[in-house]
Amino acid sequence: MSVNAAIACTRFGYGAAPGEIRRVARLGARNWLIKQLAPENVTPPRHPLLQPAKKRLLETIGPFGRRGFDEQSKDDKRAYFTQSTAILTQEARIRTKQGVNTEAPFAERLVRFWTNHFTVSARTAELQVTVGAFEREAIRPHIFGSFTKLLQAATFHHAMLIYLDNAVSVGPNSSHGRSGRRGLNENHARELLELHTVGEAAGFTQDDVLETAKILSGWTIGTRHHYEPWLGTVIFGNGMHEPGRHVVLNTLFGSNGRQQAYQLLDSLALHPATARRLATKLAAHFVADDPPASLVNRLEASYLRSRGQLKALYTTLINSPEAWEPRMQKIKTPEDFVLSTGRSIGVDAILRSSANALSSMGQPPFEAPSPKGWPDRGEFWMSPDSMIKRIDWMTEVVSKAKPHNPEALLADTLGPLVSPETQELVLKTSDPAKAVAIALLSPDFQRR
Amino acid sequence: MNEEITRRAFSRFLAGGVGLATSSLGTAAAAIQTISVPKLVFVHLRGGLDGLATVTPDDSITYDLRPSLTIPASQRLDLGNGFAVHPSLRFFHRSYLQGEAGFVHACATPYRGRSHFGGQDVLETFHAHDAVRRRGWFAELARAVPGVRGLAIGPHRPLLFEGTATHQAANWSSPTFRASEPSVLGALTQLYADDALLSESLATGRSFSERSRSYHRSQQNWSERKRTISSFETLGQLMAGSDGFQLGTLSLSGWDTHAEQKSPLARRLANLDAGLEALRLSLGPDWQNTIVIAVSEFGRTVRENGSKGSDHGTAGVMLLLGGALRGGQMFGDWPGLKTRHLFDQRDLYPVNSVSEILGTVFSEHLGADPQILAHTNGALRGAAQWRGMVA
Repeated sequence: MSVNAAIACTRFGYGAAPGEIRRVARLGARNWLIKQLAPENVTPPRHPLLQPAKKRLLETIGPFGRRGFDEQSKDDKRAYFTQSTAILTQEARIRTKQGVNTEAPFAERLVRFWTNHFTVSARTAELQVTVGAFEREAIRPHIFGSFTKLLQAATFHHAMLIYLDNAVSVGPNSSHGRSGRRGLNENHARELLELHTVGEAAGFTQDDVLETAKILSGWTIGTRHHYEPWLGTVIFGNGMHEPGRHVVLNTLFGSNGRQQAYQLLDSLALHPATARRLATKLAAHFVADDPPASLVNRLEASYLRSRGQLKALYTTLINSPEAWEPRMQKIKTPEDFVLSTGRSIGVDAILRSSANALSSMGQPPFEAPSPKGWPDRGEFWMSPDSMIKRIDWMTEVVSKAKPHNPEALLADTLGPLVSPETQELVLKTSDPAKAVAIALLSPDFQRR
Repeated sequence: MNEEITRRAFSRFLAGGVGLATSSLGTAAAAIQTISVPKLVFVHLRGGLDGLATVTPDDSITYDLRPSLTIPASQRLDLGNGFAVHPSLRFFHRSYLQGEAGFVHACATPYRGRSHFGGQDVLETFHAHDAVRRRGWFAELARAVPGVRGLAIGPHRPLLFEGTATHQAANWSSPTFRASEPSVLGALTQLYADDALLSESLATGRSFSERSRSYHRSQQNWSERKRTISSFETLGQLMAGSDGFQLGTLSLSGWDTHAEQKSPLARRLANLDAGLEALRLSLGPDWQNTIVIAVSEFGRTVRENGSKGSDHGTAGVMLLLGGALRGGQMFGDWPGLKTRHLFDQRDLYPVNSVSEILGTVFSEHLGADPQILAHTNGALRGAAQWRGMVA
């Protein structure tokens, strides 16, 4: 039925491209979504600018790169910082294009859901050149397997180790630590517990954070000063690892160096509090800011039953009646608002202005304000400022885009989901560009 | 939308956002007309302002420590108390002589690292610990001053506002694209009528844009100076009046002057000074019940570096202005510049506490309950030493 096809395109994807609702209706909405759940649907585009994290890190000036910061001339430094910003800009542009053009929009949304769950924000030049690679290397290959594997990949990625400072964390009783120059940094440990896995509801204590930091200590990146033969490579440096057995959330982790962190991640990934948290987060992302308990319970049970198999989790979501309720409860984030506009009126219309648009609406690409990532609640994205910026941008984009027939656009983009009020107002607006802008600013388009 | 409707939307936002019954507003609005509400503006100078170049002690040692950074005494604007301000700060200087500006030198947050991000996070939260650095100090202020509302100029809510609902603390920024036509806004107002979230947000957005009269032009090609002035002006417009915001904040960046700092610093200080003057004008009579605090995450090194700049330091200067300030004086202590008095032998010694000063201003000026403040965040416990700041 075509209502479900329109819901599949909008609520689970980035909005309908012309002809898509009809095509999805033919394939069957659920079937179309389930078929997307395979890693080959989210492989990154090939592009000479998209390079592995390690390669990019070696080009940096500083401890992880081949060149030291202090030895560089002022011009070299300036050139380098210009280049790292340019790389980030290009990464954002290519990612926008991929979001608009993808034929597996549900799978792409899942990628970005997890990238946001494991937020790395481009605060420094080293992060600017590796955040894009983080999504390609740690997220995309792992979102259809087990959460444990995804957690490992994200935890031990260059960008995460740098962003949350684990790369510089040293166990006080390790051989490096005894020389006394550096100590434990508990930043990564705290976020691993609070944001990436069990969450506050698990009732972890400051001791749990400290013990976690000890277990993670030693996971670092070779620098020009330490582990130089492994320059730019993620390694477990036993000389920085806090020796001994450690207890986290009442579970004992034996003293076996490198394996200790893997055992901790296994245990956290399968913790009941993690199941509950991820179930709630996924339901809140796709269905409603405060999702129905029945849906959360079902997702939680699926996660526990399959021991964290993510494909099974997504399948449970697709097969849940709550996910197909015609009432549109979610507000699109600025990113999804911009991408779905591109799917509706063409990528060329939005590409040039997309980065400015996202910054003005409060969601600059790759720059979430904290490790918590972007919020997933409508009232955050519908601030008075953000609302006016959406309207300003849409009016400008539509006035510059190639002309569209408003009636056809409504049918293509919203199909059976369009409300009589929107239909009537759009059709009676005489200026076609204005009519298209109103259609794409209507509640029917801003919600999903 | 006529003026009456936008005025109502604005008051509704200030009175508590979505969900407040419109019926109580008429009387509430009438009641607040006559009361002058205390206001606070917090200017976050990101990057580490060079406090010694901004407010310079009349001490010959300054020339020895920073020969190429120190502006000759004849060009500095004298404050008559052993200090003089940078020649770019003409409005500040005039206000000081009129008793409407003052400063605290050698002040710092509890942060002792050298990272901008770390330092800025602490300045906006006053939490030493990562874990709680997700709650900005405005969240704590809001608990101690019931009904206070905050506004930040910029495209997103700053960390300062984290932990508060969007209707308690909003952000507003100049247009990136051309401002939309009234006919589109009108059509959308009609279309959003049945959607509480969208209609409230649009109505408030329209009320903000009508109050901030400079909204209508895109500022993409504006000079930094013009943009700075416009940000301060907009802030004043949205804070003015007894129904305006009580707390306003904006941040200015570019203070990280590692090399050849003299002329860029002079330019930025001049922009800041012009912005503050624009704020005074747009606040109108409310300048009398306002205190403005401008401060950085940390100061800069006492000695100049090898590239005619200065590096990340510890204590810096805080500038204060406003009719509600007992100005015309330096507040707090001055440790001096002798090597044995320096912090780590390189930085101005942090003898005055930024969080203590803010805590005191929160309670003495905004009427925050000091016990609630101290209970939620010990750093915001005020101190008797600072009470005399507030007129």
